[in-house]
Amino acid sequence: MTGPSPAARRLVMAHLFPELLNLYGDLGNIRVLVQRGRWRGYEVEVRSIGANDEPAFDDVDLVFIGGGQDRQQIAVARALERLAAPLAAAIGRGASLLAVCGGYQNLGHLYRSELVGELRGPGLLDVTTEATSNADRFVGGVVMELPADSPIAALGRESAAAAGHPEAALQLVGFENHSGRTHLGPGVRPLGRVRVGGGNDGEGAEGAITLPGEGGLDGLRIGTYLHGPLLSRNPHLADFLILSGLRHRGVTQLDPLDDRAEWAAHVAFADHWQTIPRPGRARGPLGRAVERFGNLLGPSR
Amino acid sequence: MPPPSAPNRLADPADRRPASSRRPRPRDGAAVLAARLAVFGSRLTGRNATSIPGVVAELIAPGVTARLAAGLGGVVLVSGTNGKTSTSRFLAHILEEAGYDVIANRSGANLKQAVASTLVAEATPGGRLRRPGAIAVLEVDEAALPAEARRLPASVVVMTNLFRDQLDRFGETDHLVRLWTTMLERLPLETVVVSCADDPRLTSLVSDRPGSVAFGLVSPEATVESAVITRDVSACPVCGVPLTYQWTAVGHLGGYECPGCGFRRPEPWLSVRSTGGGLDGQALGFRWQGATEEARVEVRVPGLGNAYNAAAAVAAAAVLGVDPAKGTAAMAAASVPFARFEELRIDDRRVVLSLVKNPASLGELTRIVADAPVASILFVFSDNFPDGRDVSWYWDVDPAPMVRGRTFVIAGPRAADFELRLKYELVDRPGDPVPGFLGLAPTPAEGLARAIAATPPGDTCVVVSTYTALLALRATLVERGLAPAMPR
Repeated sequence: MTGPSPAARRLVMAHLFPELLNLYGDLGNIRVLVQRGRWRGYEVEVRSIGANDEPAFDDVDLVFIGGGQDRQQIAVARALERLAAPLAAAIGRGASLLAVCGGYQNLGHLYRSELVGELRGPGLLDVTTEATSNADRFVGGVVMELPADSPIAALGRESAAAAGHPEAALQLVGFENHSGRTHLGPGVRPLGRVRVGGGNDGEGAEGAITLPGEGGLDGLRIGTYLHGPLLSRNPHLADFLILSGLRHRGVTQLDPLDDRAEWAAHVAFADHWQTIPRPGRARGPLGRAVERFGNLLGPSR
Repeated sequence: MPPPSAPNRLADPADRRPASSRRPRPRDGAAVLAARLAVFGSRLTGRNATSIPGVVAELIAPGVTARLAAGLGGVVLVSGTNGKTSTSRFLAHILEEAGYDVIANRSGANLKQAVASTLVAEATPGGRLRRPGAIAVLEVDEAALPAEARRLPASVVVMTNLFRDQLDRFGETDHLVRLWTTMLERLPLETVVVSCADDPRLTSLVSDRPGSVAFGLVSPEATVESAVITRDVSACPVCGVPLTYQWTAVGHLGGYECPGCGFRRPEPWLSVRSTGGGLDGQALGFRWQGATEEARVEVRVPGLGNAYNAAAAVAAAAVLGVDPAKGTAAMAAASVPFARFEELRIDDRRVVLSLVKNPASLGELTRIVADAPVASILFVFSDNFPDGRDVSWYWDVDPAPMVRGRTFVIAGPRAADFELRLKYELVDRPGDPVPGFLGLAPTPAEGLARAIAATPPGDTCVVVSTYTALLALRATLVERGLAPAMPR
């Protein structure tokens, strides 16, 4: 027995502001969650909640908010003034939340940039962000290590080992592209530590996580800069979001899936980016000049 | 007839004389010689010298590119996300057919240094153009366009479209729009801007610029829905209210109207109607302001994207004085540039090379290939700097109609990622194999061999690839004598 009867197998997802925040394969994250639910026999509903829509969060199990540009983030901040309270209520009774890039910034306490000024957020993630200049963007592949006691790693251990990549369960991989520097408050922990890439602020931490029950809300909350999309190559994280969101329906376990292709892609991505020098990071102006020159030369035949 | 609002730049090809205001400086000749040496050197090391000569020449004689350009009879800058290379090629072809002398950066290298290389390659060791009075048709990278528009005396700037593309390089599409807004404010008013009426962002950019010339598609009779799931422009660029679309053709290009402020698609100066799809070509019908009837032509270039490119080329040529009827007729002999539906014959199979670089181009290709008789597909995904390091964009397109019922192979450094894309679209029951998938290939060449082996003789195999991987694969085919060499 791995959950409730098939009749009760239902997964309801809310996709926040898809008309404003839809960069970097955000739809890929939705697609992955939908299929991983369907493959297990769940009836999956994706509800788009736009900036002008009613806050229909009542029966929602999982909330996703993606990335966007500064201009769209202003509209998101305005819409959140109305929608944050019902969203917090949904997380309060157990819905899980994944916020990527722009959404991660918007759901914190504050996002500050030259273009938007100061945008207040609902503080659903205990973080603040300020943007730096475009020249200092973190752009590239990220490989990060999860804490040894991470429940995400625990969930992926068996399937990663079965695929021949046990080490992958302890990692998350993805692509980052942001000028924001995000600082964590006491209400969150880093999602992981980067081995490759910039992460929250270049100091090592990437993302933010508040586990179910922490901070007075029953739901899992995760914010991260990783996209590309995040969930296709990190099946353990996708399942952790689904499982956490379904706990309030009495689900305690998910049927295993054949994730060999997912782990293979995870490892291929990690290997690929461990060999590529990252632009603009700790290499100084000379290093950057050499790299620009290399780009000019183009690919060697 | 030329657009009524646009003065005829070059009425008589015989009346073109080089401008004498900017004479060559003593070091210009040395710069040209050094650039030639650089070409020689980089070819020795096995590289295609598209950028280095320009860099070297500008280092030795700063401003040499602009001084050379002053000797031209006209400069056309072609920019936008998709269609730059094809539009430039069509335009160069139309102008040549009309008797103009044309200089073009045909290899598709379009960054600032490559544009400089193109002009330097056309110069004498005395620092002058070999063919003074020629028209330069220059394809320019979107981000490099503002700088080129400042340093080169452009008669015409063609803006094809703006899609999301290479977000890792440009940061944000909005950032590019800001760059172009500033560029247009500084662009002399005698420079004619030719732009796509079906792109709301471009329409809003040129809305207060007198004398600009718009081209567009005739709204298709059957509703055309693009395979792109996410439209790049859904909100009105003027007031932010969601746009209402009557139809879309490629990505967000289509017939739009804002219910908030009334901003809407303008009636273009020149419209193109496309009939008859497939991989081989299509019939195009052009109608321009003041024309009594449609001018029809059968072209050998497929797809709505190319219908747009052809319209842009005919409109830009009209601004330069070429009768649109002649421009239309010239399109019959226009051919595709390298790797844009380029057809090869290998082992008695037809192999079609098609470049993809963003959701719009993949969506367009999906629709063309879905309806064409294709047996197999090789996908190659690379993520080198010119490709864009982030290839997540293909999650914004549903590629299922392209692969359903075909066999396919995937290769390239990001092959495993694309396998997941297709797995999450095509697999209905857990544990089932991806239908039609023959596996990952260690190299693109190996992948092509496998895809060809899976194609019955006489049938078609399509190669769908990102830029640098396609360049490399094509070079391999050239070495084996299976493809013609690229233009230098």
